[in-house]
Amino acid sequence: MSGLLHELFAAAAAKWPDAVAVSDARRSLTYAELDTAANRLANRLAASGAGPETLVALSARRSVDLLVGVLGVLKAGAGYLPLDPRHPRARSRDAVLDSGARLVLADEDPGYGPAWVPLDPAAWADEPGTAPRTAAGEDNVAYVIYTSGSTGRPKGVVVSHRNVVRLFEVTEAAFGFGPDQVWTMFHSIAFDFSVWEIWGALLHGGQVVVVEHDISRDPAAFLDLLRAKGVTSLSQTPSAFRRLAAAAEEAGYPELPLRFVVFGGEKLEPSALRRWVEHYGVDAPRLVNMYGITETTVHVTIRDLTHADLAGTRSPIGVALPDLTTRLLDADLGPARRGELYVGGSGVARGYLNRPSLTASRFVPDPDGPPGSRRYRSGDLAEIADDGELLFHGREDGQVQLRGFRIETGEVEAAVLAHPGVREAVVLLREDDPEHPRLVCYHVPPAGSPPATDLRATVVDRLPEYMVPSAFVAVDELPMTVNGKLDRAALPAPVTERSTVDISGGTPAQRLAAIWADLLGVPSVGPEDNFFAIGGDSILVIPMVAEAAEAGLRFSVAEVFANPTVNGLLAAASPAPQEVEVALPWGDLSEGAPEDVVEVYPASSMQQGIIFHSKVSRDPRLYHDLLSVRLRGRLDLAALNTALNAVVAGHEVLRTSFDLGTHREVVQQVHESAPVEVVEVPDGDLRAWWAEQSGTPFDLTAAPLIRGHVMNHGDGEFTVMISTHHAVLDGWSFALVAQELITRYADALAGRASSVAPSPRYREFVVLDRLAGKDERSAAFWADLLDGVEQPRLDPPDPAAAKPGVDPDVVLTLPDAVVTGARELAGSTGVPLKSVYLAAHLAALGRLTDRKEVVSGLVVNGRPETPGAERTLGLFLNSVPVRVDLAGLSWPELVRQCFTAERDLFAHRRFPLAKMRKPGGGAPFGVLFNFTAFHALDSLSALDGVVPVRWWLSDRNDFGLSVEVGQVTAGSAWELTARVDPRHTTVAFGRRLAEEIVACLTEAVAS
Amino acid sequence: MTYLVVVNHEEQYSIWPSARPVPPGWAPVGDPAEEEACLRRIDELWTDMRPLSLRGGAR
Repeated sequence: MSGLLHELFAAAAAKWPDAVAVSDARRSLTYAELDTAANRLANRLAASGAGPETLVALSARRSVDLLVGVLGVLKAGAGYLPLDPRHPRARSRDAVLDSGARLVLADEDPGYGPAWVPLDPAAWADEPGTAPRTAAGEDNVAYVIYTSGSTGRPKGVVVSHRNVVRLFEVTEAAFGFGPDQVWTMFHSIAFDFSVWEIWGALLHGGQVVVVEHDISRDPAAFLDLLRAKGVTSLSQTPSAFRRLAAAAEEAGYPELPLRFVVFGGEKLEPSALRRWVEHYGVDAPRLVNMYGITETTVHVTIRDLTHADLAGTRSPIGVALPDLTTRLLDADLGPARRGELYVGGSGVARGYLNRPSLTASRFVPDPDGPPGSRRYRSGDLAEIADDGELLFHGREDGQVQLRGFRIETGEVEAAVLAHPGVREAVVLLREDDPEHPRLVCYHVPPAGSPPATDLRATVVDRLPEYMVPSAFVAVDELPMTVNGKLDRAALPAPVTERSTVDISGGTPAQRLAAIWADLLGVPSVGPEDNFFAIGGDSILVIPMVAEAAEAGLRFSVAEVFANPTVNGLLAAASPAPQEVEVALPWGDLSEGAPEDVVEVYPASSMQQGIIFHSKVSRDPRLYHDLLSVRLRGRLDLAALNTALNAVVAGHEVLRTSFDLGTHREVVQQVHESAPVEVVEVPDGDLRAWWAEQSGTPFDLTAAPLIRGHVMNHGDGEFTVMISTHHAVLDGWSFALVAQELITRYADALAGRASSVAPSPRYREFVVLDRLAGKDERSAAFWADLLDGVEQPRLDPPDPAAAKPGVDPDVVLTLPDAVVTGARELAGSTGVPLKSVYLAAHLAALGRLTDRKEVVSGLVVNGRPETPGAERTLGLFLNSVPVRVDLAGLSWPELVRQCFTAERDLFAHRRFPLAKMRKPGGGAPFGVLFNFTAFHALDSLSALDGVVPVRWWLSDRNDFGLSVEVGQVTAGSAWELTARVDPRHTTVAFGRRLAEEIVACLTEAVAS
Repeated sequence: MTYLVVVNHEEQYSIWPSARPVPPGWAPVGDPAEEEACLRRIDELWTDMRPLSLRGGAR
């Protein structure tokens, strides 16, 4: 067989004019009808300039007209550039412009670049029904498929008619193509599996059943379609087939018309087919594994699966098609048992469109082929087993395969790196659960900036669905192995996902499907998809239920287990409105609440503890926090007032007061409004002002628990002072208040409206806090950790000591060499920077107190993982013990030990400190370590109208000795501070500890 | 490791390790160089990526 695809089709049409060539859910065309329709289109396209070596972009919904489009383009002599209308517009536009396509054939005018030809037979009904004459030959381009490119730029693979026609010639013996075959076109035309599906039928008198997108994602409906249409020839990625097999099982393994199923697009795990084979065997239908590459025209190898394969763990890909050669070569191009796979022969495509050097590097001379021939260097790693079987091992470079798509992770990384809030990024295929691999992006913000939270929104515009990572994980550093490679094992598995999918529109089923698709990282979800079959698990159920509730769809985790499909859940879900629906772990607390209170809920355990200590100490300065910033710019008191009141109005915790006496526990009451006024105070010394102001107690029973002051320095600069009680804001939240306040102020000065995204409620954290306190595993974890612990002995207090001042008792600026060295040590050991400082703290504490085993408190963040919770204001901190045996550990080992300790306690971090206290005793540690970097403040340096000049923060807690390492804003110095409660120990001891920490850091970074 | 820029009868360019004999049907262009330099050279030389047999007649 030789010739041009459309000529071979025309020959088939002449032979079987009345046979059905193509059908979709609505209509079908016979070979004669399809031929005529395509001829009319071809004349229209040719008249518009289409011809040999020109390209026509094709983007359309899946229908019979899509096949008219493919054939029409070819009959005009041109090649088609397939685009998936579901891909982002920008990607399609880039491909069209990069390719130099002359025309765009599409349902709707895409509005860019070349002239649009509507894919509507009515638009060319007047054209002649006979094929135009063209000069096209077998080596002319038939299609150009864009595939993921490692440098971030997709590349177009140019495939000729000859490449495709010979594929069917050499596979004829294996599949016996003919007019009795019915093929599904299950795949997008932008994926070359569709080339196999289209021409497997249309060159041989068979029928193409166009599977609409929704059906392709709904295995039960697809199964029905296979039976209704009598499909004999099915092509599937192993992922899709797994879902189809599950649907067949659910349907009781009905009789199927299938004769063969061809697997391609990703690695096949034969063992996953076991249940299917128990019912259908391996002969009816045959199960055929075909490894393939777009650059070598769809398929490279072929292998019929056997019963023996199912029992094994190998993924055999079989032997090369008769006119292809496969070679495994080492880096020096020498033969290897295990090496990179090179493919030669007549399937090798022409190259990458308009990419000479890229083509030259991948399409290389083939010494085994005819003179001057080329072979394709696949980048895939394969092995020849002892029995001669070719086994697929995956990739050495950044290309991964996921659900049938080859993805250059470099392209995904490039899209992520386009975000200004990302300094470094790495994208990996994680297979923590081998059944449900997923793409995960790890990103590092620029030094001193907060991690970007809108990455998904950024990349969905640039990448097709299948390339969008299912999780974005911010890390301090990308861990490296000792030889400088990325240490993949040290990257944490993502814990939760954040949704930015638009879940506000559509039917409930569409909203829920969108939530699932986003959470599970699958392109889309059908109404009968089983949550657990498509990647969900018991961990993912929780955020899923939370996001669904946010979208107004309420059901319990238990209901998900009972009804794990979209339709099932919606049927089971109760329609009751939100307010009575939520089962909060506390009773009615409305008694005693004033009329303007809109919400009452208990204080979190940390809030209760802070309020308790504030009351007991009677010291108004305790937990009374200040954040101040000196700003250069115009002072407009009214605008500042408006801004502060807008901040307070937008966050319920700032409108909260506490009821200390009505109930058995402290409850918080959220007021409808809580006006606040910024008070201007005379210019003067900020510290002196605060020394006095901090003595003015907050009335915890009156909202708001926030105050604003301003000091006009009269030199074009002024200082804004915000003070609060720690019971309502932690340091990070306090920084968010400052960020929002100053942004709103700058907006007001510039006459702009401010846009601040709403955030989840603090109450959500209180629920988590309650549940954490009842978690017996956490209780056991902490009891076990504290078992037999001995507290480090601090120097006894000096009864004559002065009361603490407003500044920390000890402030040391870390030398640059230490800061840089700490970052390098974190990098080389593959841990966050925090672990290095914690290690130095523990080592110093051990030395000072002469102990090998050290326990210290560590401040941890229990902020919920629900969408947007990173913007919620409140007190999310907890202090927990960390216990490390220093004996015999090198510095890198200790650093890693600290990281491990913190990782292990992560799941238990919300367990209330109060419950760890010994009966009648204090906290299980006397020294507290905190690592802070309020990166939220960094964005303020980019504001117009006001420029932050200097920050000053002040706070006090009631721990005996608190050590903090941190940096207020990017570019400011790293400081080590120590605060001493003179009732517990001395400032001198705090100073010795601080100095010892610096000494330890210096040793650690020199190691 | 150095490479040669090589070209075949269809005026398709590629690179080949200079330490290995150039396969039949390919002719070296210029002197051995680093891979990057070879690829840059190819970007300059290979301006019409259609195979030679398709040029001219096709349009």
